[in-house]
Amino acid sequence: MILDAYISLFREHRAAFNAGAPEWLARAREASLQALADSADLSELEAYATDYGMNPNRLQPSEDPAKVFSCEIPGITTYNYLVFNDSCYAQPKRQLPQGVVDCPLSEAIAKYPDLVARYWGKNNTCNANWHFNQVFAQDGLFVYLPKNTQLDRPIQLVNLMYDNQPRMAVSHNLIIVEDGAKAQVLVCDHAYGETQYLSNRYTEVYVGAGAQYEHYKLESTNDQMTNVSTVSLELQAGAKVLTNSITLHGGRTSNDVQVKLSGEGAHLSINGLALGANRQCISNHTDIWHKVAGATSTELFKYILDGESQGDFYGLIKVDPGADRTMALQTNRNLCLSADARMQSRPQLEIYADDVQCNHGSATGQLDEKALFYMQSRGISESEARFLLMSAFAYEVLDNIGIEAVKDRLRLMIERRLRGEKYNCATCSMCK
Amino acid sequence: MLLEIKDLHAEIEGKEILRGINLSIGEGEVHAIMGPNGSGKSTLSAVLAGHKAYRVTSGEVWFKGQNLLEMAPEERSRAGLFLSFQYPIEIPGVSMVNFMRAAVNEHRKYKQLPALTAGEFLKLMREKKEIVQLDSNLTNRSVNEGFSGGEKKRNEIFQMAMLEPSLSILDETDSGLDIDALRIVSEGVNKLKRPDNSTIVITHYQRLLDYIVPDVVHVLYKGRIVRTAGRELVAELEEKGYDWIKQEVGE
Repeated sequence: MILDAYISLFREHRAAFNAGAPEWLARAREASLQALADSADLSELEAYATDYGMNPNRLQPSEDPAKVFSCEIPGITTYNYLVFNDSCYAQPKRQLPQGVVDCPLSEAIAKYPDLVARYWGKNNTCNANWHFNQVFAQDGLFVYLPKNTQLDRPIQLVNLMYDNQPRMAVSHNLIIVEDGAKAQVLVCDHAYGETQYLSNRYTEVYVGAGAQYEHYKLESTNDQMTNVSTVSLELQAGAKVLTNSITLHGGRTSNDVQVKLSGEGAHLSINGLALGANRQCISNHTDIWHKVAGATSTELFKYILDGESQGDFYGLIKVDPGADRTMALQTNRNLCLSADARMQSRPQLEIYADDVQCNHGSATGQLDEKALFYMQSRGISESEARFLLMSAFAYEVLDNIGIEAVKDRLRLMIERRLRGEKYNCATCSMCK
Repeated sequence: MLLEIKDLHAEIEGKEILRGINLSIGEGEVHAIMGPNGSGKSTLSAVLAGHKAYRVTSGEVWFKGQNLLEMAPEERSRAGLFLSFQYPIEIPGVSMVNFMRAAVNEHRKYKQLPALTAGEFLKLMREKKEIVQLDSNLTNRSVNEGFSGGEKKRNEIFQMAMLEPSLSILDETDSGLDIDALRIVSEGVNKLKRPDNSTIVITHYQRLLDYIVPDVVHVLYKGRIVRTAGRELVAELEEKGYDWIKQEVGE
């Protein structure tokens, strides 16, 4: 099987993959390699059943990555990073607050080995995606915000797939937000050209006591893209975290968000929107683990599926014994616009404490015929009425985005997407 | 004639509800259509507005010389037909402003007028809100969402004011209204009255017709208009109920 080919690839190029890696990481890679080889659950490995090219020797692109692509959002400036396939490029000339570190992960491993080692894999998901990532990822973004620091603007990470032949890219981001610190991270996934791509992006985030963190993940790739993304978060007491995963376009998208609420009073708002067309498949898996008393989570995921697209939502909420006064609210709402669109929704509650307030609601349906007729009876065309209903449905997911310019940009992109127009970024040098 | 209905038959789910309606409405006229529950009053308004659940099996409807039955609901609206819904629909997430702006601009496009600017549109909204004393914070909300019964009905008349139709059908606009709201709503309708626009008031009570005075009164019963007379018929129905009509038609 193809996975074996990847395993042999690693063994053949072991020295190249481990170049610059400390011993603990080399050992961890071997353990993950063994776990992959031993893995019995083939469904977990489905994404890796196609043969893509990898870049173990870290060959640099012939073009200047920064010139190939820029993803700018009108109205804000960001600290900008580009992961070009599998390698991270930072924007030069930055003046950051005292003690804040932001750099390519490969650089952090060399310069701050203790810091990386202290957090790396502490909260890993132990599944095939984690193991695959740990074996093959050589770079990504590293961010460290010491106690009570904050950035004056969001961090923007663009993951770009760029090649003229089938290509796999694996990257790993490590984000550490210490007690009382604040950060916003915006991850934009894009893909260039017509070739087949597979990416495995793994992001670990550690949010300290009283810290605030927002994570936005926007995918606007293409039908040939398989995008496997995991965000794992751990929240300490009083931490506040917002995540929003927005899939505007992709081929096969798998978003996995794993959250441990490990401190009292921690609050999580976890959201997602998926717009499916053609034969796209979009899955969002969320795993929210209330480990202590008095933490809260609210969850909202929405899908609009057209064509023969397929949506999958799996939402687990687990409440440990003793995690009293937990409040966990989960909502999943979906619109199937065509007869061939399919949605699977699987809410899952595992509650081992008594004094909790948990509920979940899931509904899948079509656009409201009564509302359509009402609008038409006022002179609004059926297509415009459908658009108004769809955008209202979608915009609810944008309500809690904390960066106004991102919200405006997304409204525009969603509007164009729902109208079936081109919705590429105006400033994107690839789209012109 | 503004509206001409000839031998109209319509059914829903295979059940015939309208069984040969004939009705002519001229410019500037106010017609009341009364009748007991289940006589087909709301079906008639839904068929005129183009609701697709109803199937017209035979007959013709001409509106300003156009074949109404061949037109999509939105085309009927743009041509000047307006239905005030008995049960206005709530549309969560769609703001009143976006909803009305889309509607007004579609109407303007039909008349080959340029779209209103944001400023012009908001000014128009402010003027028209006065007519039915619609609270400003209602127009900042989603369409009908969380509106009381009375607010929904006022909102219908507000939309009518915005769209300036030539024929308005008020379907049970009085149901669920207290006496103050009834007065405000009917005063609104009266303010919008012009010599060239017409109104069909569908109701089964007299009280709305004390405010909106009809020129012609029809009684609809079992899918047919069984009696047509002047406004004096309203008082007669109020006094004697519908039983005598039923007896007259041989039931």
